[in-house]
Amino acid sequence: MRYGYFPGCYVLTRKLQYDLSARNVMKKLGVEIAEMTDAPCCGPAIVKSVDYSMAQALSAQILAMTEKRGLNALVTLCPECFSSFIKVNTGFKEDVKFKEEVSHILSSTAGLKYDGGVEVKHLLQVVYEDIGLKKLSGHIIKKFNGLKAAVQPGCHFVRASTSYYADDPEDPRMLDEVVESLGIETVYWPLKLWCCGAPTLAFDRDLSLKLAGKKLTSVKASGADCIVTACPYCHMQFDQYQPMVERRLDEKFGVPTFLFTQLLGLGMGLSPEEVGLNMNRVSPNMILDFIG
Amino acid sequence: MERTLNLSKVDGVFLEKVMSSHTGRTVSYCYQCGTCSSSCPVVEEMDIKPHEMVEMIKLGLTEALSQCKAIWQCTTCYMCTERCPQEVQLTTIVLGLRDMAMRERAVIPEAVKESCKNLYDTGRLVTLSQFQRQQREKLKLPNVPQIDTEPTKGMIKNTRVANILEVK
Repeated sequence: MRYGYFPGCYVLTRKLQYDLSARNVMKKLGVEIAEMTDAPCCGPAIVKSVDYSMAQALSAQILAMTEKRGLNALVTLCPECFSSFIKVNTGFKEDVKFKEEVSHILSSTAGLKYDGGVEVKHLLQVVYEDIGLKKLSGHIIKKFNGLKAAVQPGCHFVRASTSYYADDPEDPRMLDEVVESLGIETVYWPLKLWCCGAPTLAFDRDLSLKLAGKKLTSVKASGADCIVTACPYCHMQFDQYQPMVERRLDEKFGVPTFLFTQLLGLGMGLSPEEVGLNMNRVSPNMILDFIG
Repeated sequence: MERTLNLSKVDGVFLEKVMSSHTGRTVSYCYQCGTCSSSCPVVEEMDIKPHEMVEMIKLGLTEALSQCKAIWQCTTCYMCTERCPQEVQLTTIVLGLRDMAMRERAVIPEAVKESCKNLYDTGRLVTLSQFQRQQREKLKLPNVPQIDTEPTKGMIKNTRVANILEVK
């Protein structure tokens, strides 16, 4: 299947290691993509706070553009974009008024029409469902035996909508299983389901970093050596902001955080440069000692 | 903690407005079990707890809701919505309360203004700086194309986003 590739504006501009590692991993796995990077913003929570219907019309606009280009599937790296699209697709099925409202905005302003037929997947699902763990293991040439990871898929991936579940919302295991295929042990950590705090960073910085601190403390207590995530905002929070959290709590964590595509890439034999390892802020070099 | 609700400031038509929407209507299903609040990762910090928000919507206490900190502290993690035994769409409702708060108080958080401006000007919420453009080139990542912003601008016209930006 050929996917429209919509990494999300945050990944395109700030999380280049995610874009880079994802593209290289998809190439290795033979996932065929068509660029959808000229599509606009997905209308995330901050836009939904201002005008919900308009925000969802933005998401529908991207799906309509995808359809117009003859593609029937879209892959994204960002759970926030993912849930925006899923909400359109489920809303179009369940709520006639919502569909009418969004369709009206879409046709009257952008001259586009969307019927709800584009299948949306997060790259994690493409790896887990389309490629599958069995085929994936054939691509893994290096393993990280002995490494322990705390896994965080991203809230909006797990809880995209109450009528669509990408994974078990109370015990998400998809990312764990993908990470385990690299020989990594995934640990139980009590705060796994909690938000990383990134969405409140712009409104209440103290609260946001406090939440990140609680999560990092929980990671440490669980005995994990690192965090693995499928969300660029979780990565921002745990990687870029970790030093700030450390200063606020006066505690040293030193927990490297990886995007799952970075570890998959290394496992498939890509170089650290090809997965943008040097762009991670908290030194990720310990990972290299684990590669057998 | 003892709390007093001022019932002299009741907005009589608010509940009617909430009930007219597919998601808003779900507030009527709430029986105050408090599962939302016990699932919320930031409840400890909130001046109004999630289950209290629902009851206050029902009572029409819009002024108190507009002025509370809690609606902006919500991380939109959807944990409350996920666990609600009555399927109250609380996270989406909180997003609606933010809109109401910005209208009633006419105070718009800077982050909202900036996001709206980026969206209107470039079609993206996060914009590409010169440095990042060079970084992408160095990494041999494809260029990030400029977005045809006309459809998006049309979409924003006549909405709250346009009001916030004062564009016509």
